[in-house]
Amino acid sequence: MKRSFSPLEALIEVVGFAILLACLLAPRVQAQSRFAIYDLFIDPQAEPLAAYQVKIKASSGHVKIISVEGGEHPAFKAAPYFVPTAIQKETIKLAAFSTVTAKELPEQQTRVASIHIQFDESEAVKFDLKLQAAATVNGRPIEPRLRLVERAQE
Amino acid sequence: MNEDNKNFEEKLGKAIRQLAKETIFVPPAKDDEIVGGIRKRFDRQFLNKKKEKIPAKKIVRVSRWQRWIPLAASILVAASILYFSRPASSRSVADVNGDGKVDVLDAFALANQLKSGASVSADVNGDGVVDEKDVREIAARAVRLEEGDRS
Repeated sequence: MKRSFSPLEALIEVVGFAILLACLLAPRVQAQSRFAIYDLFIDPQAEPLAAYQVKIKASSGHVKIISVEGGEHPAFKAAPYFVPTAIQKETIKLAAFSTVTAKELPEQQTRVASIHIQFDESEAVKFDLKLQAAATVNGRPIEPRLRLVERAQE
Repeated sequence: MNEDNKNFEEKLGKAIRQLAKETIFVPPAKDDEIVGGIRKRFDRQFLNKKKEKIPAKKIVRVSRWQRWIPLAASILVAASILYFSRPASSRSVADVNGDGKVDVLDAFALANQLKSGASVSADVNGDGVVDEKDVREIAARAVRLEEGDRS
């Protein structure tokens, strides 16, 4: 029995076969994600740093913040305040304070916190850093310098 | 005599009936004269009465901006009502240092006050006591992300 073959059917079959072939032969391109640690340094410029609040926002790169840890100075050893909803996002606010005496507070540049991030290797990561508040003892506002630096891989 | 009277009555009756059928022509000039005279008289009387009883109204000229005075006064009164009917303190309880915003410095200020034993009134979590939990609550509010921060 001879089968009739309309042009439309032929076209559908050709296109369908082409799509299937393309899917099978296409090179599997998958973005490689990488993990990194960024250290937040604050230089209170010879003033005892008692409190800070910083907003960190990834301005480029596909970045996800995955965890936060405290700093190196005893006054800021504990993890800073942050909202859990910031995890898996690209923006976070960190805040911490210490009520110890001025002598026990850092006056030079110190690492106050670190953030662990996951990002796409193919894209360059860039952060916007904004100081929202900082104070010395008795709550007097100060203007420290901020730095967010990627920790060297061990 | 009786017959004369009878004729006279008949003639009179006829004449009266005839009179009712006829239209009496009054010249328009005369008509106008009469109506004008009545009107003049009536007006004079009416005006005299008016002058006697109703004192003339004093016309006060109102400038354009003066017309808005009642509206402005109403707005002022409404604003005053709103202003004075609001709660005595609209400032957030969490704004401990009173700088108009809630940030880590408020948590720090409250922590310092608690440490020094000063009297504090920032019961932020509303549990009836001001303690370390209130400090943590303020700090949590300070690091909260606004709608625009999330992505």
